[in-house]
Formats: sequence, C-alpha cells, structure tokens
Amino acid sequence: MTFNLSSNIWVWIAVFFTLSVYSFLWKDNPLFKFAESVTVGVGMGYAMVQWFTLSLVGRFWTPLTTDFSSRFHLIIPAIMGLMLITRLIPRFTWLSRYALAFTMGAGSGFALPRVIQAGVLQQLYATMLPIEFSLHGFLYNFIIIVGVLSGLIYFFFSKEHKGWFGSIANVGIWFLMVGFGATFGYTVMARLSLFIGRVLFVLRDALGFLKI
Amino acid sequence: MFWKKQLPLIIVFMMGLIMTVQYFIPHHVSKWVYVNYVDWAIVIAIFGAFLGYFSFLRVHITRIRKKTSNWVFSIITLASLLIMIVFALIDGKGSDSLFQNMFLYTSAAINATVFSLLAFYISSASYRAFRAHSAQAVALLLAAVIMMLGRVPIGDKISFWSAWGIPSINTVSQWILNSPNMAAKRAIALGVGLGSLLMTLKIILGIERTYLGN
Amino acid sequence: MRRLWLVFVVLLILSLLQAEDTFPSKPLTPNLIDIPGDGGNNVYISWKHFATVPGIRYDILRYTTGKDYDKHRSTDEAKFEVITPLQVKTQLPVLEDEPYNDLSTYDFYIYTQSQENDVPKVIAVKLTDENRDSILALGAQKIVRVELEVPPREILDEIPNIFGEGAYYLILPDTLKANVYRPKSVAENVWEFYWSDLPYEGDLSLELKPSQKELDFIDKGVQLLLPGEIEQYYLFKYGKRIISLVTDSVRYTVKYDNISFLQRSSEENPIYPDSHYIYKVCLVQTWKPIKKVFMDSDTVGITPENEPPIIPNTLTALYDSTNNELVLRLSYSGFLNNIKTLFDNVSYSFYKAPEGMETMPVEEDSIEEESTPIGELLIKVSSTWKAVKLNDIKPNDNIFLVITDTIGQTTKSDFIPFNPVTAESLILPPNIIARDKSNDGGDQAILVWDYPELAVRYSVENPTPNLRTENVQERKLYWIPAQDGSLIEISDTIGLEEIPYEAQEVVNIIYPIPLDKLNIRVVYEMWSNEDDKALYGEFRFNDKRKVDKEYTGEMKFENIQPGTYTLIGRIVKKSGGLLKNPESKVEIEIPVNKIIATKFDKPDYYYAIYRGTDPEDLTTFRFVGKADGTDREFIDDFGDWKDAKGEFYYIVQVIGPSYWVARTEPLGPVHIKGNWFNFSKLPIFFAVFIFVAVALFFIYHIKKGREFYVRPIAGIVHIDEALGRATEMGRPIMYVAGLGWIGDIATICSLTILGKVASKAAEYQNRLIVPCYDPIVMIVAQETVKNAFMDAGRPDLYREEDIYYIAAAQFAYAAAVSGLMIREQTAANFFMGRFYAESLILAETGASTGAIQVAGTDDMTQLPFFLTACDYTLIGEELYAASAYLSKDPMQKGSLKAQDYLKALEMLLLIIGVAAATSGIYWFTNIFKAVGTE
Repeated sequence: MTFNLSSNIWVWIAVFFTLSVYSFLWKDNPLFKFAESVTVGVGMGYAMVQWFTLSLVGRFWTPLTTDFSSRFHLIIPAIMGLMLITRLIPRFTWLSRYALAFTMGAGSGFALPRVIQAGVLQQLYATMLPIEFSLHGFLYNFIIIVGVLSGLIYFFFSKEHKGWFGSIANVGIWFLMVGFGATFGYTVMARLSLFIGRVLFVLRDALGFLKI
Repeated sequence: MFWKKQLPLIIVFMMGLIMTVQYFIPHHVSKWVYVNYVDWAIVIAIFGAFLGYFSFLRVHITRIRKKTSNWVFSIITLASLLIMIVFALIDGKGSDSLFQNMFLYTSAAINATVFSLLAFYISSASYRAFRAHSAQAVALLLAAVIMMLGRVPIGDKISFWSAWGIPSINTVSQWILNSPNMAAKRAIALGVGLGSLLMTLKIILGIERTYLGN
Repeated sequence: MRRLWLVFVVLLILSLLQAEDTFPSKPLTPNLIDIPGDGGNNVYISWKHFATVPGIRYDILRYTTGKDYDKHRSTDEAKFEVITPLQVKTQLPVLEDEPYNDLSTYDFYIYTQSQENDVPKVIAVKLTDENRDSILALGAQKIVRVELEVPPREILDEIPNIFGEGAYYLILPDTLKANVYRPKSVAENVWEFYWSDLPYEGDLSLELKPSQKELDFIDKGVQLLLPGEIEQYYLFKYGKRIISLVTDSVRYTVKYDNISFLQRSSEENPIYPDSHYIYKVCLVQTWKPIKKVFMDSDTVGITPENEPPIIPNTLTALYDSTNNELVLRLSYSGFLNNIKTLFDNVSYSFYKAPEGMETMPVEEDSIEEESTPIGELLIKVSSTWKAVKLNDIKPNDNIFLVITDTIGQTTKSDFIPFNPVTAESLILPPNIIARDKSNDGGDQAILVWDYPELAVRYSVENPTPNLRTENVQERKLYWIPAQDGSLIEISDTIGLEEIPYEAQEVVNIIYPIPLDKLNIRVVYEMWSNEDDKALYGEFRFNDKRKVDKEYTGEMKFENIQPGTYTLIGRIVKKSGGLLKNPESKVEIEIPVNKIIATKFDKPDYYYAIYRGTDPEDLTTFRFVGKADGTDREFIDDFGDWKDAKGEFYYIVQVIGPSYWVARTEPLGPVHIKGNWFNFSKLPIFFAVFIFVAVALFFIYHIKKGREFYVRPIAGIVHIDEALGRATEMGRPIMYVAGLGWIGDIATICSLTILGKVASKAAEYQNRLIVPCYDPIVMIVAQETVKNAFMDAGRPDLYREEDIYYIAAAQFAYAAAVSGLMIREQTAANFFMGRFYAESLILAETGASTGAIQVAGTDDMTQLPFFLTACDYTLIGEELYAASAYLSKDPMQKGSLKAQDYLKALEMLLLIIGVAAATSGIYWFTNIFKAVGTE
C-alpha cells in the first residue's frame, strides 16, 4: 500500500472541508458550521466579483460606454434597476414596482404562448395515440392514454372524489405513484456516484492511494 | 395614487400584451423588441443582484454588532468574502489564480460534498419508503426497486425467469419508464401547464399582485 | 588548496554553462511565402517545432516602422509587435520511468547529412559486414536508445540536443496481436461470393489468422524503418513513430510539427502590397514552476505583391458535337484549392479566338501593348461560378479564358482543349419558383421546385442470431481485409503465390442458424419542399397499417414468416390527406427469405444556386449555395434583413456527374419582405385565444357570494394541525419558499401560502423563520409576513431578522438551512416553491429532527423525495390550486374553476384525438403538432 501524498496545499484544504461536511452526518458541530460559513462567504465573494466584472462592467458599462450611439437605451433599464434598489429605503419602496412590473409583465407575456405550445398542445399531440389491438398497443398506447386521462381527473378540484369519479381518480393516483417511484429509482444511482466522486478525490488526488 | 397603484399595473398589462404578440410576429421589428427585452431584463437583474449583496452584508454585520447566537460564524463568513475580493484584486481571476483556487478548493469542494450527502440521504429516504403504509406507497416502492435494479447489469443476471420468455427486470424497468411514468409525467405537465397559463394571465390582468408587495 | 577551490569553481561554472547549452535555445528561422494570385495582402509563415522543445506558445512578431509603409500607424517608434500568439500542441513530458526503448544490443547506427536549411538530414542504418567500413567512415555513431515519448527535463538536459529531419518508425511486433483477427462487419460482396456455395444463407463472420508473409515479418523482430521500406498496413499495425534517436553523446530529435499561420490583412495589422515586412517567431514556455522565455528566432523579411491572376489548373471543356454545346468547368485543385479564397479575382471572361488563329501569342510584349484581348467575348461571369454552358460552338473554335483582378491585371489562358462527350439528358426540374420566404423576419428568400417524392429502402434482418461454427482449414480460405473484402480459395487455378501479402488465413466460419421468422426494417426519406408540407409516412405492409407520426424515418415489422410481401408507402400531408402525385407513392415487393439490404436510388446530380442583382450582367451573380439532387427547395439566408433590401434574381444550375450542366434563365425579381404574422403558428394562436377566452369568462363572471365546491387538499387542510403542534412544543416554524425567483409561478403561489401560515403563526404567537434564496423574494416575503402579523393584531411579534437572505448558491443554501433546522429545532417545516436536487437534503434533515413537514412543488423530479420524507405533499397543480383556495379574492376562485373547465376541454380534445388517430384521420392530430420555432 503506497501513498503518494499531494504536495498541493489547496488539495489538503479541500480534504479538510470535505471531512468537516461529512461530520454533519454524525451531528451538527462547530466544524460543520465553520465549513458552512466559509462556503457561504466564499460563494458570495465569488458571485460578487463575477457580478462586478462580468455583469456590471461586462454587460452593462462596457457596451454602454463603447457604443453609446446604439446602446443608449440601456439607460432605461438601469434607471429601473436603481428604482429596484429603492426597496431598501422605506419611503421609496413604491418606486421599485416599476422594475418588477416590467419584468413580471414581460416575463408573463413571453411565457404565455410558449406554455400553451409546450405544456398543452405538445403534450396533447404526444398522447393522441391510436388504439391498437395488440400486446404492444395495449402496454404502450392504451396505458399511456388511460394514465393521462385518469391523472387529469385526479387533479380536478371542483368535484369530490366519490363514486365512479373517485375510482378513476384512484387509478390516476396509482399512475402517479408508479411514476414517482420510477423517478426515485432512476436518480438513486446518480446520487450514489456523487459520493464515489468525493471518495476518489480524497483517495486519488490527496492521498495518491489509487492510480486510476 | 395613480403612480403607486395603477401605473405599475398598466405597465404589466402593456408589457404582457407586447411580449405575447411578439411571439407571433416574425418581422425584424419584432425580433428587435425581443432582443432588447432580453438585454433590458439582464440589466435590471444586474441591479437586482446588488440588492441581494447589500442585504446579505447588512444581515451579517447586524448579527456581529448585536452579538446574536453564532455571531462568530458571521465573522468567518464576512472574512471569507473579504479574502475572495482581496485575492481577486491582487492576483486576478485567471485560471490557477488565488481567487480561482480558493473557490475551487473551498466552496466548490464543500458544495460537491454537500451534494454527495444525497447518497446518504437517499438511503435513509429509501428506508423510510420501505415502511410503506398504504397500497399506493407500495406501488411507489416497487417501481423504485425495479428501476434501481433495471439500470444496472445485475438486474439481468438475477432475472432467471427470462429463460422462460417472461421479460427480465431490465425490460420491465424500460417499460415502466416509457409507459406509466410517461403518462404520469404528462398528466402533471398538462396540469402544470394549465396552472401556469392561468397564473400568467392573472399577472397580466393584474389579478395576481403578490409580487408588488403590499 | 585555494587554487584547487578556484579550479573547482571554474569547472562548476563551465559545466553549468554547458548545461545551458544542451538545448538550442531559439526556434528555427521561419519561412515566409507570399500567397500567389492574391491582392498582395496575405503572408504565409511556417516553421518547424520539434517535439522535445518545451514550449506552449509561439508569438509571431512583425516589425513595423511607422513611416510610409504602414499608413495607419501614427507612432514613430520602430518595434516588433505581436501579431498573434499561437498555442502549440506540444507533447507533455512523460512521468514514467522508461520513456525510451533500449536498442544497445542491436547494431543501428546514425549519421547526418547537411542540407540547405539549418536542419540536417538524419540517416539511420543497420550495420552489416558490407557497409560497416563506409558507415563508420562517415562518422556514424551507435544508437543506444530511441525515445517514443518526450522525456522529463532532467533527462533532456543530460546530453546535447540537435534537431534533425527524418521520419523513423520502431517496429515492435506484438505476437499477441497477430493471433486472432475478427472483423466487426463483413462487406456485402462476401455474402454474394458465397451465396451459391453455402447451404445456409445469412450473416457470415470469420475467424482469421495472419498470412505467412506477415508471420515472417513478425519473426524478424525489432526493426528501425523508414516509411517507404514496408507497406503502410504493417507500419500502422506494428510501428511507433520515433521522437528522438539517442547515441552516447547526442540526442537527435527527428519528429517535428510544421506550425504555420496565414496572416491576412486586418485593421490592427494591415498588409499592403509592395511594402516590406519583417517577421520573427518567439517561443514562450510557461509551465510551472519555470516561466522561461526563449530567445527570438532570426528575422526574415518579405515584400508581398499583388500578382496577376492565376489560371485554374483544372479547366475542362466538355463538347457535345450533336448539339454544338460546350460546358466549361473551372476549379482550382491541389495547393491552389487551399488558397483560392484569397485570390482577388473579379471576373472570368471566355473568348472565342478569331478564325485562323491557331495558337495564343506567347511574347509578353505583344500582350501588354494591347488594351483588349483578341477575340469575341462569349460570356463573362463572377469568380464564384463553377460551370458555364455555351451554345453554337463549332468543333474548330478556339476558346480561351481571361481573368481580371481588382487592380485590372489580366491573365490569359491557352486555348482550352475540348473533350468530346455525349451530353446527358439533364433536365431542369419542373416548376421552379423563386420568392420571398413567408413567416420570416425579412431576411430569407426561398427557391422551390419539383414535386415531392418518397424514397424507400429496406433491409431484412435476423432478429437474434444463434450461431454455428464450421472449421474450414482443410479448404484453405483467405480473406483480404482491404476495400473489396473478398474471399479467395486455394484451388488448382489459384495457388498460394497469388495470395496478396495482407490476406489472412481463415480458420473458422461462423453462420447463423436460420430462423423461421425475420424482421424487416424500412427506412424512408421524403424529398419535398415547404409548399407540400409533407409530414410523415404511412405504410401498409400486407394491409397492416403503420404510421410514423413522429417522423423517425424508420419503421420496423417484426417476426415475419418467409414469403413475398407488398409494401405500399404514402406521404401524409399536414392537412391530413395523402399527397396525390405519383412520385409520392411507393409500392414494392419484398422477398423475405434471406438477409438483404437495399440502398436508396438517389439522383446523381446536384443544384448550384446563384444570386445576382442584374439579369443582364452575369458578373453580378455569385454562388450562394448547393442543393442535393434529393432536395426540392433552397433557402437563401441573408443573415441580416438590412442586406436583403432591393431586387434579386436567381439562376439554378443542374450539374451532373460528368459535369454537364443545364441552367435556368434568371428568375425573379424577388423582393424580400418581413412578414407580420407567422402562419405556421396559427394553431397556437387559436389555442391561446380559446383558452384565454374561457379563462376570462370564468374569472370575471363568477357570481359573488356563490360558493362553489373545492375539494380538500391534504397539505392545506393540515396546516392548522402542523402549526398547533409546533406551538404545543414551543418550537419555531420554518418556511422555505424554494430556490426560484419572483418570476417563477411556484414561488408566487408559495408566497400566497406564506401569508396564510404567517397569520396562523401570529394567532398562535409562534416564531416564524423564512430563509430566502433570492433577494426580491425575501423582500416580498418580509412584506407578506409583516402584513399578516399586522392583520392578526400582533405587529409586535414580527421579527424582520428571521426573514433573511442566506446565499445564492444551491448547496450553500442547503447546508445553511439544514444547519438552521438542527440548531433551532424547528417543529414544523414548510417547503413550498421551486426546488432542485437539494430538496432531499432539506426534507431528510427536517425529518431527522422529528418535525412535521408539508411540501409542495411542481417539478416532477423532486416530488418523489418530498413524498417519502414529508408528511403531506402538494403535487404539481395542487400547489397552484392551494394559493387560489387560500386567497380571499373571488377572482382567484374563479380562476380555479376556469382551470377545471379547461382541463375538461383538454380531456375532450384528447378523446377526440385518440379516436381520430385510431381511424386514420390525421388532419385533426396534426393541428396539435404546431412547431413554434423562434
């Protein structure tokens, strides 16, 4: 068993924090709180620096100052953005509504036809399958149609789930549960591989124990 | 009052109408509207981010001043933030700079580790799911188990019944994915689609005003 | 003693200096080439980079004087400026122990021959008794090892390094490789070859072993070879390219890459013709921990010129004597093909020489004196034309080409010799129309032609082959893995000597055991244009109908008994009907008795499209694109609507395999306009209209005071219970509004529910903690909670510091909230809104503290985790309904009703759609297939 310890101090810092986080599984302790504070602080510092250089300067200031003749209209959203910041001043909070109104209004208008296309039309088209009298047709087309219809009935809010209506809704919830179970099982392996990734980091990059 | 109440709602309605109509118009004027909307939204978001940073600093500084519980960790948080800014100033942001290394080996490493905690949590969630107390929970459990086994080669190996023509676990898991799971996804997507439609409509018409505050 | 020390120090310094000198410390001098035939503003720079030189970047520097040469410069300083840094693909040093192969036991020797440039040629030979004296006389040294990788710096620095030229391979026959060679797929003609002989039909695969020639080669052992000395096949199979040949005292690095850069004139670094430019190359090594800059290379200078145009080296004239038609094709091939985009040619003019002139005048003087060339101008086209057809050409006519460039220089070609050929019957496609493309932003034109056609190919496949092996060594079969892949049997007529060297001996043949059922795979393509709106194919296989709704282009018919079947294919239009023209229908007989695959019958011609502005002047027409023979449309995309202003004409040329052409007259004029409505989105428009109308009706017409029933939603009903428990235990409540921003619908619903939870918390005088991910959400949450507390009459209980912004990183947020749950020991947790992968962390941590948990999200991927870890979960739409349910506004309840009615509408449409799909009424389902492209 040969070790080939890494000479990079950063790797050991990462190992320290990795183990601090895993200590949370045992119980909450100052090491975990330390790691939590560091990640919040460092993440926020990173975001702030990137925000300043890439966003504020890169996507606002530089385009505005280098090509003012065609980009002058960027002043308007800048003013709206400044109005957004007035949220912090109690007397002027109402100014921020303009920015929110613009964003929400435009965002909703943007989404409306797309939601109909993707969430309604496309889903309906994909479910309009022919009913075939074969095993394949039953297992696939028929089951999908029944599942979608009964699922929709389950989500009805205006009628109580009683009688024949309740039975169909019951079929719907069965479909939903099977679907959820499938999603759950599908992601299990992916989640486990995350853990394997961290273990490899410690064993291979820090300790040099493995050569893969 | 008009400036505080009515005008924002008028703006919402106008913008909503413009962007809805824009979707159907291919003319380059319409494209110009779309491109500018995206640029404007980005600039507003840039200023909005400032709001977040400011309130973050305020929260932690207040905690340190008032010495509420765990105020020591607020010092650590602010110190880490300051260190990142100093590193960026002295060594730049390039690859292998202090700034990048600090981020990669502390925050990114911690985040990846927290993400990997999911491996443990999913095990405890599975254990809890196994204590199924209703028929439907059993269905969820069964589907999950079949899926888990069906995604790895071992599923095929233990399917001794496949020699008699009965489909193996892998085949069944494929069917679950393509059939009942698909149906469930579509039912939820259709419902969510309608809900989104109604919500965007309510926002455009001014019926839904939560986001504007009081 | 002191003197000894002095001597020691001097020797140390000398050896250190010498160590510095083991490597030639500057790059080799670059070569500069002025691109011929261009406008004098392109320079090509190249140099050799040897594999052992440890650098990662070359900077090319150019000398600018700032005086009258470069007119844009205003500085007076003369200095070298970096034109461009080029990343070099160097081989990183290898960290293994032995990057080299020890050849000291062999007798390979090396000597050099100087060449014109500063790089000597390196020659390696195997020493034999005959050549021993002559080789040693040349000063050859024994090769002790060869390096196949770049060794680490310490080893590189041990002995002096010299760069040389030589492409050598070390042959390491790996006897294990030579045993069994099993090809993955066998060429079709192998089946054909064996069809008549074998008793079984179907797939073949062979087990092979190498031929005797190859085995003899392997027995020779380790060899050092130049590429020409053995066949390419052996070189690739057994050889490794050598990087350095090392003797006791010197390392010769023989592998290099040619690094080159084409400098084109640009605004920052212009190149003007007849100005002098000086270049040099500088190598930068920036591996850590060394940051060393090597010396610059020597300088080289060049004066690029605007040369006269170059005649294309492939200039063919195909002559059809029956119709007196001549087709001229111009193209540049070889090296010229790589630089043709740099030429500054403006037009090609074809002339007919006057009668009686047998040869072109050769003297330079006579050509320069004339201002116009002799002859009759037949046609003049722009430089992007590919082929030109001339009529009324007699067999004795002499045709030549004159090319003009941007400054008016001309070059004449010799008379172009005619190749006699019988013209193909190339017909222009019927119905060619050029017009503005509809439903676009005013930047596209479209050409459509011909009628839609359905092309089908099929293959009969063996579903699950079981195999049977036959040992064939007694029959002496050989298989040739090259292009034709044929099998050869040793017999009376073909003996062992006639077997090619690369043939391999077959030891076994593996056959499938025939099954009584086979699969048929039909692959189809629809060649159509936007006018026909062909959507997908419908096939009938022996009256069994299959429709390929998603247009995968493929259909499978499984478990078919042997026999002959009829396949009928039709194209389904968007409006649901079937296309009427005869080419859109296919009817073929498929014999199902053996494994077979057919190919598409694709036309062997293609279309070249030209666009111009003046129908009378062909030099305004430039090549804009190519369409295959199977295409029925061509979209000309201008990119920017500003470029599409004005009038345009199009010419379509059909070009056949022997380069015969047929050409249309200029089509047009075409005016490009932007469209104000995208009709392909019409179904979406109607859907928006109908859905919005229904929703508005219910929202605004709900009668006030009229209660309508909303079924109890589990999570909402139990909010009171959860809050009550928390109050009993005296522990706080946590409400997580998710990781979305204010624009997410789930977040808006979550904030509505927060209002209800907050007012209950105020009523029970319990503490409410709301950690936030987004600053705007935080602000809205603060206002919501404050108002709720004020309405409940307990503004004093409101604590703003409990509703705060934690972090904007997903897992930092998850870690912080998890820590918070454990520290504050919250008794009730609410997770409402948009969540991602961290959902499980939050839910599980909360569950571990024994809190009662209610969750709600619309993302299907996170719902399973909430379902398993939380007590009550709002699934998808229930979250939206809950916010409407809890609101006091009657319009919100109206929207809930609207949602239900719309759902009923959807179900109705679905049932109708299923019925339509089952009975083959496609137009109804196709309405929903509207594709909303941006």
